Amino acid sequence: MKREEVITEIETALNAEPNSLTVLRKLKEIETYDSVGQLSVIALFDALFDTVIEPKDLAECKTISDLLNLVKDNLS
Amino acid sequence: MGVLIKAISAVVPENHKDVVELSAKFGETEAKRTIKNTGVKKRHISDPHTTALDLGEEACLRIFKEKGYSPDDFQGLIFISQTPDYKLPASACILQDRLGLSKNTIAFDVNLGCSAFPYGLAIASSFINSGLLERIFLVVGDTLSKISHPDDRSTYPLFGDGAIAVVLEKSTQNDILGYDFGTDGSGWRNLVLPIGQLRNPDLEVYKNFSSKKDFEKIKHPESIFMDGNEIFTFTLKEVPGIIRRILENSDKDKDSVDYFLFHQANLFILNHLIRKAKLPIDKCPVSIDDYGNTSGASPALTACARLAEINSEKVLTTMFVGFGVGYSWGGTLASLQKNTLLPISIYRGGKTNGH
Repeated sequence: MKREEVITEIETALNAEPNSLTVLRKLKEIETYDSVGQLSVIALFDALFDTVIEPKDLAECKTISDLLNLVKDNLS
Repeated sequence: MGVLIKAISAVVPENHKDVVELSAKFGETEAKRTIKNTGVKKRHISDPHTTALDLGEEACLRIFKEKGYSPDDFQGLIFISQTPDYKLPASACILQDRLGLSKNTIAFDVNLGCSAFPYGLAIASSFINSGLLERIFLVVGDTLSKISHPDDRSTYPLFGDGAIAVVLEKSTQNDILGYDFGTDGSGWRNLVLPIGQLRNPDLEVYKNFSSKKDFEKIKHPESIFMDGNEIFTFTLKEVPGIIRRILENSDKDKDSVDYFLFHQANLFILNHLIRKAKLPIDKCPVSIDDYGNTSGASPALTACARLAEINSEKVLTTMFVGFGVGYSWGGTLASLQKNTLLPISIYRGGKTNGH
């Protein structure tokens, strides 16, 4: 899956505006990336890649790019 | 020798809280968002004088009334709860007395939460299969509202109170078709109430002697704490395997199960779990909207809430799945003969402290 496609999926999961997220966007600046938003990202990656990411790894993510790195083996 | 599940009743307290109360507390926008994500539109909350024991007693009395049993018919009573009346004695002993069961009754408590129902069925069935008992009450109940901090948005809007009672009895037929159980105690820190028992009897001991590493995320140590991300991750890793193993071990497939009755953790988790396990949504009834997360009672409570009418007309093949605090998990494949499930009833007592 392409990185851009995953970002679009993240936008949908976080109820963010289309094309509003970039790889450099800081997660703490995204209003909907709260506890529910984090659950949504865990669910999204599980649905897309059958990968259950570890909460401690998620907690270390600062940007969208960091989120993508959690599933980098599945990206083209 | 086999075990029949003769009756299942469920009881919730009369008082309830809903979006109006949540809006007043957290604001309308946050309340609506919370309800959308948890799925909890309403939850029944016990008054200060009502405990899980009271609700469990009512569930047993309902079975006496509806099914014609009398106290002398029972030789066993298992009470599963994490919100007992006292540290000691066991609630099962008090309940034996209140129900008027024989002094020959085997009665004891089990400390389990979300996984309580499958565990209880297995323990009760073991007593019957061993030949020791012919008929036994299993009671599962909790009042988690009493241990939720009102400012904790991950627990307060989620938990409801309730109890269920089950009658299991010796038979030449068998309603219990398969089991699966598991434990991963490494997850104990992620769903925990740190203070109130002997490791941390009070806040002073907790502050001075407890391991900071164990409780670093906890803001309200005298209330229940839940790390939602960790619980969700655990659920995704373990629960689909429970379903698969029970079906494999009992030589069944998904199509042969009428209903999958999951612990009502929260709606977001349930919906994702159902998709991941590739189960038809109409085979997975939900009760969290009307009753909240009622801990170990929730799979059976969901059956009473959503399937009692259907069960009045036909036998149902059901899979009950519980998972959570511990971590502990379990599942049971069971037949429910016609009229096993009683509709949910409301507990209207509790105006005095004790009986």
